[in-house]
Formats: sequence, C-alpha cells, structure tokens
Amino acid sequence: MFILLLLLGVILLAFVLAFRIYALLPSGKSPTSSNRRSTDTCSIAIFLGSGGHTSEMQTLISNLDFERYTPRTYIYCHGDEISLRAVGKLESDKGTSTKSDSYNLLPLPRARKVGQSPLSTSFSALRTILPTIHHLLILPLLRDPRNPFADVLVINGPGTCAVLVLVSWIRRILALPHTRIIYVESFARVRSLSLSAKLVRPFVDRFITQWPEAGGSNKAEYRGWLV
Amino acid sequence: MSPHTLLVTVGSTLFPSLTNEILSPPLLAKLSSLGIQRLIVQYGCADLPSDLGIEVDGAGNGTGLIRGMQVEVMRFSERFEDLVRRSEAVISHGGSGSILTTLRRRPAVPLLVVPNESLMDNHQAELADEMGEQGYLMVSRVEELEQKLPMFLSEEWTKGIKPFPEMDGTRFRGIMDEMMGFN
Repeated sequence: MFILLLLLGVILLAFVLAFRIYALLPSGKSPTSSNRRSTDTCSIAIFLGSGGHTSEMQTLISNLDFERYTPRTYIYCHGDEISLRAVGKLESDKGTSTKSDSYNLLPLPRARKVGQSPLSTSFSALRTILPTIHHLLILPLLRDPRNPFADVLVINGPGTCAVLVLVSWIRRILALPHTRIIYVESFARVRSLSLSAKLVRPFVDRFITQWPEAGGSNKAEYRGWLV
Repeated sequence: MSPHTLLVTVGSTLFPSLTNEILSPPLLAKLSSLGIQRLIVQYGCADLPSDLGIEVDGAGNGTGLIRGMQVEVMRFSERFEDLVRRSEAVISHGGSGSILTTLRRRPAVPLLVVPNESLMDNHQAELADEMGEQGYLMVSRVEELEQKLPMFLSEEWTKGIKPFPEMDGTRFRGIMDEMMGFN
C-alpha cells in the first residue's frame, strides 16, 4: 500500500513537472524582459563552443556594448586554447573602457565530441552536468538566491550548450528569477538546422537563424546575416 | 591583372582529395601556365603527396620551387587572416570562417570553394552553392578544378565579383538590447 502511494506520488510529481515545463516553454513570440534604463547593466554568459562556433560567437559579442553587458562570464570547454585566446582578443579589443574584473572564465568538461556514440555521449554529458550545476546553479544560489548566474546566456552550439540550457531551466521550473537564453544558428546553416539547434530550440527565449530558410517549415526569426 | 599569389586552404579539416589534386603535376603545370608565381597550400590533417619534392619541418611546413612557382606548404596556420591578406586568389574547402574572412578582404579577391563531398552531413556545400548563386564566389568540384581554374583566375571574373557586405553590427546589438529591455 505504501509503495503504491509512493508510486502514485512520483507519477503525479512527474505530471506536474511536465505540465510546468510545458507551460513555461517560450511561445516563440520573443517576449522582452522588463524595461531597463539605458544606464543599467546586464550580466551576460557567453558559451564558446570551439572552432567555427567560437569564431562566430566572437564576432557576435564584439558588437555589444561592454559597459552595458557586464560582468561577462565566458564558458568554454577544458583545454580549448583557441576559445581562451578569443576571450583575450575580445576583451583587449574593447580596450581601456573595461576593467579586468568585469569578466570571468568558466571552463567545463566537454559533453560531446564530434562523432561520439549516443551511449558514451550520455555518459560524458553527465560529467559535464555536475560541474555545470555547481557553477551555474548552486554557487549563485548561495551568493544571492534572487540573482541567476547571468541575466542572459548566448549560445550557438555545439552539444555542450544543451547542458547549459538544461541547468538554466532548473531555476525557471522553480519560479526563481532566471537566465534568458538566446540561440544564434551558424551562418553556415542555409537550409537545415544543426543538431544542437533542433535540441534546444523549444527551450530558448530567442532562436535566430542567419538564412531565411534555415528553420525549415517551422520558420525561425531571421534578421539577415549577423556575422 | 590576373592573380600571382594563390592560397589553397582546408582549415583544420582532412581533405586530401583537394590538396593532392592541387599538388599534382598536371594542376601545378596548369597553375604555372595561368601566371601563378606563388602557391600557398595549407593542407590540414591530410598527408602531402610523397613525390612532391618539398622538405617539411616538424610542424609540417616547407617551401620549394616547382615549375617556376614558389610553393609553400603548411599544415595549419595560426594567422589565417594574414595569409588571406597576402593572397590574390583563394581556393577553400568552404568552412564558413574561411569564406567570411576571404570575402571581407579589401580589396576583394576571387574565391573558389570546393566542398568536401566525402562529408556525410554536408551543409558546407549548401552554403557554398547559395553564396555561389548570389555571385559572391565560384563553386567547383575537385574533378572540375582543371577546367574551371582558367576562368577563376581570369581578369573578367575577378572584376565581376559581387562585393560582399560588411558586417552590420547593429543587428545583433539590436536583438540583444531589445530582448533585455533596453530601448
């Protein structure tokens, strides 16, 4: 009897959770967040996914006002020297207007290598999820429960970015102030989406492609080339 | 004036059918006859043809003189932008980074993209085809190279390239500011 009740409870909880997630899914109408004054700042997390992802992200971010989007957290995969150099270049190109404490670095274990099998992917995804939960959820909660690790998270693939979306969603489900997420599909995607884009699309607040037909029949937001 | 310095690049990919074709005797002869004086081949993860006759160092870089052309081979390049700046024509595997860097070079240089058809999910071919249709670059398969090179390196083609627009930084900034409630 007790086990039955417990089981019922678990099923009920799963239903409530599923409904909560469903109810929270961004409608695609790109809601804007509450108004900020032009002198306000906005904390930002930037995922540098290696290779072409990193270079496109570097270009995107270089267009932002660094005095407005501060502090900046750069998330990248362990051992990705190229992304680390990209951060150095981004920050130094913006020059004297930024202080060195206006950004920080967060290296994470890589969730999926190109060509890795689904089984071993799920294993290494787990190795990524735990430190991500630690840095993106637990530490910010201990620091100040009202503030998420960043006001906005910018991603453009590959796989590891799905882990960031997953962990960011925990606060959303708990109805705490949460990180808004924007995904920018690569300039290289003309008529089809990448795997990571398809994966995270329902869960991000803004989903943008750089070619009008890239989203397929389910049209995505398109504002021309961004890089 | 037709180009004298030609860069062939495959980024960090493995594309031996392109690099071996470019470094084959018939293609080298063709390039030399078309006025190329300096050929730079960044060959990535592939191996060089064993009979090329150019000694390479530990990093896989070397130079040699073939058919009157100065041929420079390198496995990878840290400074791709500098390479493009030094070149007067570029043949690329079609990575989006190399396409953007080349098309934004000023003054503009002709770009020929050879998509790697051995890749399974080949969205790079889609990008190349679309950009080719819009007139920004020329697309070729490996087998068509010998036939397309004279056109690609000709003055008419170089003159007729459609200029690629500069990046409009206000677009992404606008999207972000709008999303985060800055007006």
